[in-house]
Order: sequence, then structure tokens, then C-alpha cells
Amino acid sequence: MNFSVPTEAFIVLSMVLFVLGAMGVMLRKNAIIVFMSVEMMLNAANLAFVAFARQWMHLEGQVFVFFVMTVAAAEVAVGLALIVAIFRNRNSTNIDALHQMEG
Amino acid sequence: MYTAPTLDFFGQLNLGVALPALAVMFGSMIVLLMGLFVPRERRHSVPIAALSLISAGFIMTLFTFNPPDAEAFGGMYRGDAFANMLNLIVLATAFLAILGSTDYLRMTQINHPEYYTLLLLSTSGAMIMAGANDLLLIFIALELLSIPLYVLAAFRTTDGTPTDEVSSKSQESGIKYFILGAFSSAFFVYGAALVYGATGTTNLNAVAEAVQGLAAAGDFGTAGTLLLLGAALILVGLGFKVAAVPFHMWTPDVYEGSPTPVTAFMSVAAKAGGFASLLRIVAVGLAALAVRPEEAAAWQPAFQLVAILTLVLGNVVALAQNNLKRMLAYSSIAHAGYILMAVAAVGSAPLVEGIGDSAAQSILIYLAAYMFTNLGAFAVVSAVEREDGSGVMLDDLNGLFNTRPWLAVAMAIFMLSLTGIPLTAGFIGKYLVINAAVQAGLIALAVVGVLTSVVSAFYYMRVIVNMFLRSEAEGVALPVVGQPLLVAVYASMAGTLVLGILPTLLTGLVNLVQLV
Amino acid sequence: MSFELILFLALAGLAVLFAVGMLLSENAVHSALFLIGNFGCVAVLYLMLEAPFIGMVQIAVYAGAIMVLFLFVIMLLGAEQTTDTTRRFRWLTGAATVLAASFFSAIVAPIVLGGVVLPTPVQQGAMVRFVHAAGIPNDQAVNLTVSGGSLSEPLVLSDLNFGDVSPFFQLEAGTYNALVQTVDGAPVMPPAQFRVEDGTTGAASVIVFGEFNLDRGTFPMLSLLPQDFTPTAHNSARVLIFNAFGDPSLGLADLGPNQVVDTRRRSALDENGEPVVDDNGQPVQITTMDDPLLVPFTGAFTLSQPATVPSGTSAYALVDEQFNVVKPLFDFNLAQSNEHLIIVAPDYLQFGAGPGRYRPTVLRDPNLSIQLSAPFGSPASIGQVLFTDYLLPVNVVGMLLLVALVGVVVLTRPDTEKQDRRIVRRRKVSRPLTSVISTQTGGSITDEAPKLPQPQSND
Repeated sequence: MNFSVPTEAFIVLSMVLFVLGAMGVMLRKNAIIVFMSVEMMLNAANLAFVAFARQWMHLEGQVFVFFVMTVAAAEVAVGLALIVAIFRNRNSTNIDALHQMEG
Repeated sequence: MYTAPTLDFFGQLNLGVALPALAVMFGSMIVLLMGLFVPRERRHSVPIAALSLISAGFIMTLFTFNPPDAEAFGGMYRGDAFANMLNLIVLATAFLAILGSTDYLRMTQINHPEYYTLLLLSTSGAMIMAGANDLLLIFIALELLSIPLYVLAAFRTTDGTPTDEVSSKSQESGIKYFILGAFSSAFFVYGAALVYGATGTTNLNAVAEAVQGLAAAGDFGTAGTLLLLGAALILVGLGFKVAAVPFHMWTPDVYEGSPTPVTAFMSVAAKAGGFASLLRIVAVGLAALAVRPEEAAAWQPAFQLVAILTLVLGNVVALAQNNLKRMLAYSSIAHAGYILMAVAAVGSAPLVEGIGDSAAQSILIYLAAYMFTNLGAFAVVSAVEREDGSGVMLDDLNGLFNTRPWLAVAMAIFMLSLTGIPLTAGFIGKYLVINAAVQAGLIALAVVGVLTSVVSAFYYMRVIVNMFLRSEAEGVALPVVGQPLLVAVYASMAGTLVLGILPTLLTGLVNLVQLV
Repeated sequence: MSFELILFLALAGLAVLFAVGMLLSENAVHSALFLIGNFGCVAVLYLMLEAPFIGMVQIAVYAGAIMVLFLFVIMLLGAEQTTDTTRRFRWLTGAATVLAASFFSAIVAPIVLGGVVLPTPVQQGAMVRFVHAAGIPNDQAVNLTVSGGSLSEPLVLSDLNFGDVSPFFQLEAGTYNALVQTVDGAPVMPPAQFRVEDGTTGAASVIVFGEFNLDRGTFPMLSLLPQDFTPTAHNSARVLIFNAFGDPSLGLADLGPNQVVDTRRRSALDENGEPVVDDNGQPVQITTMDDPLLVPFTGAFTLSQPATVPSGTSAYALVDEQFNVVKPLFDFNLAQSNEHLIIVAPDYLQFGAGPGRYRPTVLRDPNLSIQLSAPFGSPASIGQVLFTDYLLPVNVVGMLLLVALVGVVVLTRPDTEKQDRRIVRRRKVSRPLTSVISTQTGGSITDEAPKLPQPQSND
């Protein structure tokens, strides 16, 4: 089947977004920005799923995306609660300041 | 092609085989409600309810241990012997962890009943991961296993120290675990997307069929490349969970900062669930993914490399640790390496008949042995740990034999088992795992395993030397050890010895395991 | 360069720009807004990818709930200004870039350069069911045995009466043999063959077997009628007619409120619009209908083209070419999003001892209408799948959300027990002043060391 926009294009785009997100996690120090980068990585994976779902004309990819979104929402809630709890103690969201345990 | 599913589906659900995992999952809601409405004086009933739920799950698992028709929910969940054996291991982990938690929570003033709910839900996540036959269910169960652990790692919100040192360590471990865990599950999802793109399905059996079709056609092509990349990303995602190198960065900090019973649970349950899913994915789904037919799987070299790195790094860095919890963390990394040896051995499935099943059986026995040993060791650690988090350095164990002889003997047995000395469970586990690697033809890997075992003896023996041959520091009072914790220690010690001396008690069950 | 390609390139570029902006921005609120923009672009891409439900859920959940939660937390903590503009370690940036580039090229290069062919779905067989539409004298039940093709053992359908429809069976492509026998084993008609092709998406076929009658000549014993699961428009149904009766071509007409076929006679017109004149010079009159036929005339033993008609319960009629009603269908329900196969079969009727005759009957088995799938990617289709195939993941995700709820409460609730303990400690310090002072100035530290009252910082 021929789509006007080939599936490979979507995969390349999702790859770019995934790598950008991974770089964000590794390079940024602010916990909230790191977390937003993780969300972007999940989003890129979702895009790959939907593109493949159309390639295979099979709903399974879209259902997976539905579940990933739900899980991401739960994760965000817990993660932000953790960040709020830490911030109450330290007044900073810089994860580089979290180095009490060394070794 | 997709067709509208019929309501006849509900007759094919086969709930019976999934009942243990579902019972624990839904029963934890009852524990949650109990925790909300029970008055403070009777708060001890919550862990008792949790323990009874776990026992009920245990009995249910034994009843349907090896069902003839194990597929449930339309092929999503397989309640076969492998899943049930893992259910038993995880349930025992939760049981011993709860026994060790009650007094610890009271001592550190974090006696919130939600602890037990989160622990039970994490247990049910591991149980579902064990039987999950579809990448979607593996992902969701992985999150159900992990998210409660993120919260539990940060559970110490109060402590007795003026500077809030311990609670801030706990929070730090929680957020580190969380960020790296979320990072790794994003890798897992992308890997699952690539596998889906290559095969058009996420069900592991259907993936296996597609892989065999590829292998038979001899055309590796795009689909094969995508599958290989997907497998690599899935390994990254699950590798974080089981603390394989180079995804192990979080382990020492998280193990040190979390409350000790949480660390105990996490060290076994996360590994059990993670390895169960990893094993199912590679053994059922990707076993035949070879570049040419009748060749070992294409992903085997990568797994071998990761196993070697994990073994070496875990054992070598543990030598330099002074903190008991950090030492046990690195030892945990090393043990993940041993299990990875058996997982890598599955890659020889096209060459060696039945290696998938024998590797699975060896991993199950290893996990059972590791469960008893590690839980016991962490139980002893929480027995000597003080309210402000001190008392867990290696030097604090000096002369433990004089002050608490039975704890010292138990700890000695656990250390021997972790090393792999015969007559302990650890030896049986290591023997089987190395045997699986040799059967698969991975001789170099087996040699590395044996050598690193020898290296590990050094830091395990150091603990024993400290306990028996050194004398204790002056004027320091050990905390009183509560009854449940003692029961946990003795039960773990008994389990370690019994499994080591009479392994046939467990191998009879494990021999029923047939993964592929 | 179609419109879709241009749209894709624009959206992709925009999404990447937003992503880079999110990474490089110093202000956390700006980062969040860039990420919302990224999510919006991806949502439009989902619409392009035939996933309307997922696209809307992306906007509602991701951009609308998750990012709003982020913004709330940023504002709550007052953490807009991020202080990490300086690079930590140069080598880490370099390593990350190298890692990213290698990962990228490992995947993109073969795709872009290699002329890679992504696997496509393989069509497999078809779903086939069997309908007994043969008017057999003595009205007996028959057994149908299907063998050959990919069947490892013959498929036997026993005790089929006139008008029975069997359930669907999945048959691979190939040639099959069918044998129809009476219950005692006597053959009703010679064995016949039918061929199954690889089906198109969601194809199902119906095999009708009819008996030949000496008077009427032979007609096909077995006809494979392809049906289709592709979705139809809202509030409509799809109708097919299979004319197994024979001679008059039949069409489906709507009877309307007065329940007659509205016909009128008018002059026939040729292609130029001129009235046609017969040999005597008289204009030829033909009967026409004002409203067009719902299903056009279907010849003997043929399957009509599928026609989309408005759904509902109404009165219809099968009419022949002179618009005489051959068989009325009162209170005939055409359910929406269903495909209805109307089989006109010869029913053998015998009155008394004389010879019987055949009468056209419309088979009324409700299974002859198949439920069409909802359009690909629509909410209905995802809902259809979620609560049947994906029941367990839905439940587990529910527990996951419960975990998130409990976790958030545990992590962020104020520590009332800590406050209680401070109050308890303060109450315990009711000793005389002198002992308090002496403990403050030294001595051993015990657990009960009295603390000066602290201002409550935890609310």
C-alpha cells in the first residue's frame, strides 16, 4: 500500500525526537526539565507506534499508545510529587545538589 | 485484518490461571481501605491482613501450578509453571519483607499503612510481569512494579536526626530511582515499537512465528534489523530494572538511601519480575533471531558482553565498599550478572535443544536461592540499623557474634550462600547457571563467572571476619530486635540451608517449567 | 509534492524546533510551553496517520493534563529560573552527542540510503460460512461436508435446515470440495468445488448451495459470495442481494408510507431525448419509478453490488423488472453499521399430493447481517478492542492509577505525626528550670533532649 507520506519518514522523526529527549535527560540539571525530556521520549515512542499501526493497518499500535499515555500520566503525578517533596526541604530543583550519597 | 471481536471472548478468559496475580492486586485495595479506617491502636492488623493475602495468593498458586491450558485473556497472560514458580518467589519475598518491615517502620516513625498497600501492589505487578505474554502487558506490569517502589524508596519523610539527613537521603534515592526508571521505560516502549513495526504484533508467540518466518526465508533484511534494534532497546529498558551494567548507576545510591526492608524487597522482586520478562521475551519471542539459520541468535554477543561487564564491575567495586548496604548493592549487581549468563545462554536455542527450558529452570532456582539469602541479609542489616540510619558500616558489625550470636551465625550463612559455598542455596543456583552457560557453549562467560565468584569471596568473608574475629566497639547499644524480624531472619536462614542441602524439594516443581 | 507531504515536513520541522527550544531554554515555563507546542504538532501528525482518537487524547491528556500539571508545579515551586546554563562536564556533552549521532545513524542510514522496505501485512484466507438456501423436496435437513484445501480434517456441518446459517470458519486460500447429503447419507446433489482466494481486509464469504430443478435448468450449486467488513457511514447500512431464485431480476425498492411501489408509465426516451416509437408509430410506454431502486436489478444467480442505504425499520419490496412486487418485506430492519445479505432462495412448497412448486423466500436469519467494524482509528474501534482483547491491561492500568493516587498523597501530605511528636516533646519538658539549663549546657545526649519550641514551618 502506498501512502503519500512514507512510514519511514515518521520513524525518522520519532527517532530525532527520541534522541533529543535522551540528550535532555543526560545534559540538563533541573529535575523538572529532565522529567519533561522523559515525556518527550515517551511521546516519540508513541509516534513510532501510531506510524507502524497505520503501516500494518492494525489497531494494536494505537491501543498501546493509549496505555502509554495513561502510564505516563500516572508517572508524572508521582514524579512531580517527589519533586515537590524534595523541594520543600531544599528550595532547589537542581539534581546536581543531590549528592549526599557518594562512593 | 481486523474484525469486530465477538462477545464470545468472555467465555475464553480463563480467569483461573491468572487468579493469584489478580487476587493480590484486588486484595490490596482491601488492605488500603483497612489502613484508612482502622484506628491507630489497631494498626498492626494491616500487616497481618497483608500477610494473609500473601498466604492466600501462595496457596492459590500452588493449586494451579501447572495448568494444561495456561493461556488467559486471549493470549496476553500465560499462567504456566514458569509464571507460577515466579509468583511463589515474589510472594515469599513480600512475606519476608513485610515481616521485616513492621518493627522497622515503627522505629523510624514512618508507620503508615499505605506502605503495605504499595508493597502488595508492587508484588502483584511482579506477578503479572512473570506471566505476561505480550509486550503491552509487560510494560504496564513493569510500571505497576516500579512506581510503588519509587514511592517506597522515598518513604522516609521523617527521622530522628536534627538535620533531616536520613529523610533527605531517602528522598534523593527516590528521585534518582524515579528519573532513571522513567528513562529506562521510555527505552522499553521504543523497543516495543520497533518490534511491533517489524512483526505487526506485540504478542510474544506471534512475534516468535514472525521471527521463524524470517529465519526460514533467510532474509534478515529490514524486519530483522528492526527486531534486533528493538531487542537492544528492550534490553536497555529491562536492564535498568535488574541493575545490569552500564545501567546500574542508580543501584548503590538507591539501595543505601531507601528504608532497609524496601531495599530488601526491591533487590529481589524487581530482579525477579525484570528477569522473568526478559527471559520470556528472548526465549519465546526472539530465540530464533539469527542472521543465518542454524546459528546462535544475533543478540547473544551483546548479552554476553553485558553479562561480563556486570559480573566484573559488580564484584570488583564491591571490594571497595565500607557501607554494608552499598556493598550488598554491588553484590546485587554482580548477582544480576550471573542471571544474565543464563539469559545469554538462551541465545543458543537454534543450536542446542532445550537450552531455553534449562536456562529458565536454572534462573528460577537461582532467584529462589537469591531471595532467601538476600532477604535474610537485609533483615540482619535492618536488625543492626539504628533509627538515624547509622550502624550499617562494615565496622559496625565487629563482634556481632558476641552480642547477638544467632544473628551473626545467620549472617555468616547468608554471606557463604552469596559467595556460592556448597551446602548453601547459593551454590546450587550458581552451579545451575554456570551449567546452563556451559551447555550453551559460552565457555568464556562461564569462566568469568567462576573467577568473579572467587573474587566475591573476599568481600563476603570480610563481613564474617568482622563479626566473628573482631571485638565490638564500646558503649554502643544495639537496637532491640523485634519478633517478626527474628522470624524473617530464621526463616531465610532455614530456606537457604534447606535449599542448599536438599535442592530436590524445589527442583521437582521447577522441572515442570516449560517456557518454549 | 502532495499537500500531505508538505504538511508533514512543516509539522516535523516545527516539532523538532519546539523540542530543541524546550531543551535549550533557560526558563522552565518556556520549556513547558515549547513542549506543549511539540505535543500539538504530534497530535496533528496523528490525525494524518488515521488515528483521530489518539490525536484527541494526546491533546486532552498530554497537553491538557500532564503539561498543565507541570506548569502548576513549576509555579508552585517558583522554579522558573533554571540555573544550569553552564555545562557541567564538557566530556559528557561530547559523549552524549556522539552517542546520539551513532544511534541516529545506525537507524536512519539504512532507512534513508538502503531503500528499505518495511514489512506489510500479509493477506490470509478468508472467513467463510455456509447458508442452506436450497429448496429441497421433503424439506429435510442436510449435512454438509467440506474438505480439501488447508483443512486437516473435513469440516462437517450437520442438520442444516432451509434458511440456517452456520458460524464463520477461517479457511486458508485454496480449493475446497463440498458434499451435501441427507441425514441418512444419500447425496442431495453432486459434489461441488469452490475456491477461496486470499481475502481483502476483513472479507467474509457466504456460500449458498442451491439445488437444481429439472424444470428450471441447472444453476450454480455453490456460490461464494464475498462480503466485507469495511465500515460504512454513520446511520447507514449496506445491503446486498443474492438472487438464488432464478429468472426475474430482482431489485430492492422502498415501499414508502403508503406501502406500494410508486410507479408511473411514461414514454421511453432514446439517447437523444426523443421519444421512442414502435413499428406502428406509437410511443413506447415503460414503467419507471420516481425514486431510484435501493439495490439495482440483480440477475439470476448473481450477487448485486453493495449499496448503502439509510438504516432503520421500514417496508421494502423485491420487485422485478416491470416493478411488480415479487416479495414484500414489511417491518424489515436494516440495522446501522451492518452489512445485510438478502438471499432470495427457492423454497419448495408442496400442497397435498400434487407436484410442488418453488416460491421465492427471503432468508430471515439474523446472522445474515454482519456487524461492520468501526472505522480504523475511530473511538468506536478502539473501544471495541479495549474491553475485549485488552481487558487485563485495562484493569492493571486502573490499579496503576490507584498507586499514583496513593503515592502522591503519601509523598506530599504534611507530616502531622512529626508535629504531634514535637508537641509531645514540648509537653514532656515540664521539669524545673534549673535542670533544663544544666542539660542545655552539656552532658550526655539522650533521646529525650528537650528542644526549644520551633516555629512551625511545615503547614
